[in-house]
Amino acid sequence: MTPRVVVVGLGNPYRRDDGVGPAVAAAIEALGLEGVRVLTGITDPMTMLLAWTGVARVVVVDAAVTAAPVPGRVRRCTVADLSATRALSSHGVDVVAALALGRALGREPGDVVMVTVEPSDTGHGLGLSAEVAAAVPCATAAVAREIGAAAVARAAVRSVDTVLPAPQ
Amino acid sequence: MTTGVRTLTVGTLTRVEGEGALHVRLRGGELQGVELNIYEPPRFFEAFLRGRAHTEPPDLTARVCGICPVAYQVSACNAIEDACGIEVDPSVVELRRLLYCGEWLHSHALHVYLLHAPDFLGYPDAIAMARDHRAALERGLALKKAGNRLMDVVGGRAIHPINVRLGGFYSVPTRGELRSLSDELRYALDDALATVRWVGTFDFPDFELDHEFLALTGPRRYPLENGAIGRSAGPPFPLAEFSDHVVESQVSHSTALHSALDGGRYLTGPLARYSLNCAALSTMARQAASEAQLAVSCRNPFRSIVVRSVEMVYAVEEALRIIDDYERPDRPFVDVPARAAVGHGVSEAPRGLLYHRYRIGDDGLITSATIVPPTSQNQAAIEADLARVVSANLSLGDADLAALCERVIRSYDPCISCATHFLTLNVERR
Repeated sequence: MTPRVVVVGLGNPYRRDDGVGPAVAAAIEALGLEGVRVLTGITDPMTMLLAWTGVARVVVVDAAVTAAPVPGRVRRCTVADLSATRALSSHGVDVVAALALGRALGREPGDVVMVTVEPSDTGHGLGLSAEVAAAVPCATAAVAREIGAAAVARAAVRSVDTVLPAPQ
Repeated sequence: MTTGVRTLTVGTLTRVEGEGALHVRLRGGELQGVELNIYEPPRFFEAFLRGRAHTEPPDLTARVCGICPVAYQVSACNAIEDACGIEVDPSVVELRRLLYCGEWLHSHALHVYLLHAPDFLGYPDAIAMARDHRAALERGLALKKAGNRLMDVVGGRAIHPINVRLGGFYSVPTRGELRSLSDELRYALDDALATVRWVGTFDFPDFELDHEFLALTGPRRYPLENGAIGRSAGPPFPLAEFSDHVVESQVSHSTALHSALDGGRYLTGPLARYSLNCAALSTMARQAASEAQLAVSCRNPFRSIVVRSVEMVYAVEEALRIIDDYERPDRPFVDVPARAAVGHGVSEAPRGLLYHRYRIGDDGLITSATIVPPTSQNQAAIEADLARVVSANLSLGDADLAALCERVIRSYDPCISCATHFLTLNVERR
């Protein structure tokens, strides 16, 4: 059955804070929300298209590097705020390019919202930095709000400590 | 711009995987050199595998690539099982082959539809192509989805499968679970055949490569999850002698190693695989190849899109066959106790032959690891082909020449991430 909402956690948990997307996705999945499908580990645009076809809303959670970075800062943005930086590839996911392909095929979701967390350390290894780990509850709550569950958002803030690995 | 020197930079070559650059030097209208610069940082897999338990390489090396993790898992299992003197149950081998069919299907569907087809239809990318060829792209998505489903059911998930382990699988599917895939696969067979007919109508530039071919061969089966070493010119050799024949060397312009086969240039991948094994294809795949004007050997890299499409037909048929014949194994895996030894393992990744070698110490830990991925094996051949293409097309302007070089490179579906990610192209004319 097609879910109402798809939450996509982008990023590589083996590159420290780049794993914040999957970490927030895991926190959302732990809430067991009805009609919400959580996906991580997407590495190509076709899989992204297949995942969001017919879905009302997609929330993408990802680490985002900004010009004046503040590690752990959580932001909300829409695809219109992003610029495509890469072409379509079979070995990477550019949300803007994937959405453009989806539009051309009539496979675009109702809307796409991004929740981003600014990283501190994207070096090799497991575990989030202290600043980014501390931002996970806030990012989880932000995602929960986007999927229409304000009460769940508050619960999310309380529950995330139990599902997240301790920072290393 | 310096007088007499003309340098063209085409930033970010599209539709290849990884980070790299191509540098073409022309002086006085003559080609001075072609270098495929892979500058993606080395990834040190072989180094960090040392000291790990002999059970770990299948999971660790799967992370080399998000598109062909099964290839890494299977080659690693084959090598370590070889070292430990263990043969897995034939039914488990069939499940590995089924999982591998899923990987071929999803990888080939991505390359054919998303990366390669726009070259032949005159579009800058798949997004532009999709507006005019929506039905084709939908077919590609359906094939990709069928591949993902196979990997999901057999491998536990579509990306970086988690169900593969040394000696077999953590759990094996029921007959009913596999049969549930059959309907989707029958539709996929129609889509794969339609793909061959579609790409068979494309126009292919004239080009015949002269490299030796290296691919696995089997007595009766088209090679996937294992096989013997086969080649087009020299005599075949036992797998244990792989490193004596395939010698890797460093070149200053690339972080990926170059390889030579008995000192000569060679090619692995779909063209080699097909040319050495087309007799082992299923009747339907052979017929599709014939209708798409593929002879029994294919040396035109641009036609690799046809070969990949034929291989999709085969992968779907093979998956259906394995599912039809499937009897759930009595045990999902056999134990593979460590022993001090060296083991060699190969399989046919979508991009070509993938070799792993491990030495296991007395303590059961890996003491040395060697991984020879297809893209690094093919680098020298790609450079040689680029040199020929550039030399034959010097009259073209920089933009057209750059576009042609990009097409040549894409024909090989290089996975630069595997070999060590995007191409910047420099043409320097003096």
